[in-house]
Amino acid sequence: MPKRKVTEQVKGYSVAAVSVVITTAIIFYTHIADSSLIIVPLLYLLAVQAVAFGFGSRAAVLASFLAFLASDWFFVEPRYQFTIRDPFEFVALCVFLVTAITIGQLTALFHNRAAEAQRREIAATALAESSWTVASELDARSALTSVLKHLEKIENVKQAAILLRDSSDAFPVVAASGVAGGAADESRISQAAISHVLAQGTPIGLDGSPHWDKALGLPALYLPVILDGRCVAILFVELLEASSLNEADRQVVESIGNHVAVVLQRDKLVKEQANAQALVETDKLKTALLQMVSHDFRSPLSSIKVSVGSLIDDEAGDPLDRETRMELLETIESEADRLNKMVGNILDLSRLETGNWSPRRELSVVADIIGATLDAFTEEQNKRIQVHLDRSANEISIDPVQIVQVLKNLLENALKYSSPEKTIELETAVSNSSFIIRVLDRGSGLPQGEENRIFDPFYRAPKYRETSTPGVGMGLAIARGLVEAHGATLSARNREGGGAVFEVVFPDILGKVSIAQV
Amino acid sequence: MKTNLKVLVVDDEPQIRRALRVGLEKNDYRVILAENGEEGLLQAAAQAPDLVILDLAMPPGIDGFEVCRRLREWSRVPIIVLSVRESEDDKIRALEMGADDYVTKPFGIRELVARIRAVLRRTKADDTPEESNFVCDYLNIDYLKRLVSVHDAEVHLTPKEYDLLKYMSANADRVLTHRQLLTKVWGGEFAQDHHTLRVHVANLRNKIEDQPERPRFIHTETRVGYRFRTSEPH
Repeated sequence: MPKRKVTEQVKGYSVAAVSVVITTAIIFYTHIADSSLIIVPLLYLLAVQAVAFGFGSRAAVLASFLAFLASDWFFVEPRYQFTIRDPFEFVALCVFLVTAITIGQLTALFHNRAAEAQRREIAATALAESSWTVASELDARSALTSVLKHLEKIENVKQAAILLRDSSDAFPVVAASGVAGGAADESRISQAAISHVLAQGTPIGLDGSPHWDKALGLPALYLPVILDGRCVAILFVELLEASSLNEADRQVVESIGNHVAVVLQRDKLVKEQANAQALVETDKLKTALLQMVSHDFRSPLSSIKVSVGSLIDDEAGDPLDRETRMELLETIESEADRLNKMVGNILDLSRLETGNWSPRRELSVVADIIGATLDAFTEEQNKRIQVHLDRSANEISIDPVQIVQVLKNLLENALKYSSPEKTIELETAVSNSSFIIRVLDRGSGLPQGEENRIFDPFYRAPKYRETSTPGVGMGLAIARGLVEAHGATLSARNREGGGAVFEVVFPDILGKVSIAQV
Repeated sequence: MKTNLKVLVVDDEPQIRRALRVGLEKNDYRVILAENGEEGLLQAAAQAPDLVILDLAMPPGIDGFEVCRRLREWSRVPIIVLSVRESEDDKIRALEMGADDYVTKPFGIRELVARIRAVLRRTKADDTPEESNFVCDYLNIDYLKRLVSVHDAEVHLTPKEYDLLKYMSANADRVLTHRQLLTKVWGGEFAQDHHTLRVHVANLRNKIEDQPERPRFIHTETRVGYRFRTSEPH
């Protein structure tokens, strides 16, 4: 028998003795027995019942015997000796003894049942809450921690932890609860026990045998969590010193082990699903890229090849006039530039799609950004671009390379879709705490109902899909991606009087904007 | 008719070597080719070229940076590196290892030749102007009197603005890194103070450019530095 139970029993016996002594003293000193003899056994019965309620049947039996002896000694003639004069008195005392023992046993039994029922209720509640946790927590780690919390309600549990198998087959603690406010005391976890659980595939400490308690130096449970035939985690439960779990609590621990398995299983499925989703997205992009490489790359390549072919023929003796030669050479140059731009776009887009293109912010002069943008356009194109800068914002914290790219793409788009005699406006503004850059054109406007789709990769407005207006629908997608990486927004709307407005809004940058000093 | 100027091209791609040989010879340079870093270093020692064109992205072994570093141990020959878009860090690294300028791939021969000329024009002293007067388009700088005029009207510059403009114009058409400018104009302890530089450049532009947002003279090389251009780019 565990030490704990022994001390409990000794305490029970002592209380039994003390309560009989007290009862006897009360009866003796109040002289209550002189007026009514019937009160004596009734008072003793009350004491026996109290002992039975508090300390169980054995203590109650002892109390019954002590009460029997005490009443014989003190209250039955002749007093102060154990002999009994009247045989009827002897029978009465025996009946008292039997009654006391019976009432004691019944009380103890009743009390045990009630306590058992209460424990079962706690266990059932813990399990119900634990499964609710499993169902409601999305994140595996927090779900595991919550599942563990329910072990705290079980008597004798000191601490608990979940050890998750990692790629190197070690078992680090991923969730813990108990003594030190949730932090696991890892020194209590035995590697030998983990190895044993792994090798045997069976739990330690669940059968209640004291063998492992001795071997490990502390009472603990190691429960393997098996998923698809593999031990993926171990549930570790340490008990209070010199204690053990009753059957019902052991079942609770076992069920919580199952809940851990459910959490891990679901986590695995969620991850697989996310991976599958990412693969689908990547696949879509790949298909689009392949389509572009096969179709859109071929058109500049064809014009280069045709032009070069004509120049070779020219050398071979089929003379071209100077003007034609120049025209062919210019075609080659501009088509090469176009190919270069497409390669750059593909690079940008794939970097954005993989999400590893975070802005490298630095405090940049707005005029500098605009200057670097306009630099990329020809003199001819520059004549079409009007610039209006809000001089109240001088500097802004952004990635200059990326924002120049955004503005280039927006201006390119505006130039492409409006006729050559129309001007494009590029303006900056400060509104509330936001910094705004707008590109306004007088082009054909945005397709009705598809205002937002123009930012989808590879989207082209229906009326341009089969035309010679070059473009493959990457510029705006890249622009939006870069703007969003800055925590800013890029939107487009039709402009009053015809054309479109593209607007980049950098919110809440008032503190990051420095006001012009000139 | 060929000049005596020898250009060493170090690049591992045969097509680029061939194209550069044709293009540079057409512009009256004598061209020496090397297909890797080791050969490049040997040729540089043996032929004593007037200029080196060096590809940064070469296969492992001795890459462009290493060639640059080793060349600078014993030679002051001007170096122009070839790099790719979006690699500002590489550009800065090469410039700080002693390269004189860079050209971004893909580039045209005209652009390359312009860079070669700018670099060759100024290799001897790099902070003393050669002439007492600098004229470029509508900008006029009188180094003797420290006077700057725009469209024949004198403009007032602060001493630092003047020093900045003087250093940039003396190194016209060459890229100057933030660190270079800060060290030369403000002194070594200001090498990291990019913000000061940006503010001064912005103010200088407001004073000498017709359209500060479309600079004619002082161009931004994003993340790298600035370049004073004598010729219009387009």
